[in-house]
Amino acid sequence: MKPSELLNVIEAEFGDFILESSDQGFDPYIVVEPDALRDVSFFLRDDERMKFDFLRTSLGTDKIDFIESLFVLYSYELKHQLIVKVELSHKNPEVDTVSDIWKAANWYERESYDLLGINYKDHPDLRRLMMPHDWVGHPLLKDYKSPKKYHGMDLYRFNPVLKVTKKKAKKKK
Amino acid sequence: MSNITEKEVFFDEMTLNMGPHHPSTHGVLRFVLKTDGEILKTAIPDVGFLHRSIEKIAESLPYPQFFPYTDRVDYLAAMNANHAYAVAVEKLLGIEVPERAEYIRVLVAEMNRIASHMVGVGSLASDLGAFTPFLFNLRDREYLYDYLEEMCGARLTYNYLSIGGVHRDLKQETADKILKFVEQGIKNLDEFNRLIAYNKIFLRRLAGVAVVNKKTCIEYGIVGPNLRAAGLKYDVRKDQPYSIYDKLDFDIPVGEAYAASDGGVIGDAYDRFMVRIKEMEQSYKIIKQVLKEIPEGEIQAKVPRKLKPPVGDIYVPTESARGEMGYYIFSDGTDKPWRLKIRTGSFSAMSAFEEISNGYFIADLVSAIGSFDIVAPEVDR
Repeated sequence: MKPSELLNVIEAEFGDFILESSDQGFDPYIVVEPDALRDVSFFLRDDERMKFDFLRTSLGTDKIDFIESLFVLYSYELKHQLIVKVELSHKNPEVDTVSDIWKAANWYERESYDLLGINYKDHPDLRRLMMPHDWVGHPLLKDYKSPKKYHGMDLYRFNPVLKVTKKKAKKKK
Repeated sequence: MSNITEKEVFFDEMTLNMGPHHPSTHGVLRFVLKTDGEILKTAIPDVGFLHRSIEKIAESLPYPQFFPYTDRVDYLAAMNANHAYAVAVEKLLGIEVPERAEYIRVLVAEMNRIASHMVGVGSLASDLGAFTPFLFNLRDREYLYDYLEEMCGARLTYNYLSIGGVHRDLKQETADKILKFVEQGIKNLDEFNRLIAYNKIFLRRLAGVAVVNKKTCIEYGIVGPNLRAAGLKYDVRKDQPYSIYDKLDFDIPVGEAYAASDGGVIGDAYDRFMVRIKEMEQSYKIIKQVLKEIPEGEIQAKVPRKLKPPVGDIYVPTESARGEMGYYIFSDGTDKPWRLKIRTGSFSAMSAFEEISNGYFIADLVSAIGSFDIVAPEVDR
């Protein structure tokens, strides 16, 4: 199905819940109301015209005004692609999980939780994936500052190339 | 010892630790095994030991400077990772690559794919106790690495591709050497097959082990040779062709229960092994075509000094040695990506382990890990 037709079908079905849709950019995408994400997801997977069975990837982006959680879908059978986006507030980045709809989302959501602090409601196993389990903060946020030490290990090394004396380096800390 | 009760010995689940320094985990992977005696209930992967925050680093670097980092995403198939990034950025910027550069790119990508599969199938054999075939493959891989070194000056992490082309031209003498090696390589592949592929012990260790059917593959997003071994004929090179793959003639091998005589089914560990072997044959075929048809001409497109792509996001899939490698880039109009995400094949294979490891022997987990050809840095990035 052509991207424009695809978006028309989805808009006809979910009207108000689709906040934005476009096929003018590189990939066609829709922005969905967070509350309707699960309904839209079930429709995208199960409908005869959609059949998005392959979740290519899922990620989060810190866009300063809001945090975006998105996933890239592909249909093996009908060979079309769609990006589904959800915009979440910085204060309370919370959205329903889709890990029971596409199992691949399980680890991607864990990764997004780890690196951006997005809280996926009803996720079966929401733990940190990449970072150590007792790490503080979410590194991919734009205002993230790395801690100086982790369990007594220095995370910054004295750099002999930069002409900063050890005393000054200590003062900076 | 006397503290253990009879109940604990005979009825309870046992929790075992495997890795991160276990020799068969290829890099640093850790599993927490829940077992009932010798039989696995589940193997829970614990990843992140090789997390180098490549995606965070990308946000602070201009587009061309990120190339050396893409090498480190997958050090066994660094060319493919290079290629994936180059294709993504070029699509974002709308740059046309000269034809000769495209041919050289496909040539090095396929050479690296063969080298990667050689380690993949070889280390699977060595995990199961057959060390000699692994060494045979390492010998052949060294030839490939020599030619790649002649072309770009490095053995493993090349940084060879640039945005809009490649860094150095292919010399005629190198091309002749590669063509000569291809003939030998196909013969050596037969030799490898005679050594191990039809070995009865090897067959029995892999047939019917860690079966992943088509449905599970699609649900978990398992890609590449692992997906094709489950019987789904999908290859990004054919289905969403990039570069010059639509001009080339090659087949996509799929799993056909190659070990049916020993109780194998479609999508078992032996199918994954065999699909890789057959894919190497196809890659040799591609290399031959590329070297025959390679045109003369430029190797670098004219690219502005400061790359400033338009605002927007893009996801570009390519076929790496371990399946679909895709780059998602969100550009905010500056010379650095605002967000860059790398989708890799090992990550999705790893995420499925918790489910597919149910019901096998602990020893079979070793062949399962080997047959999925998981490379740890690709999982963690």
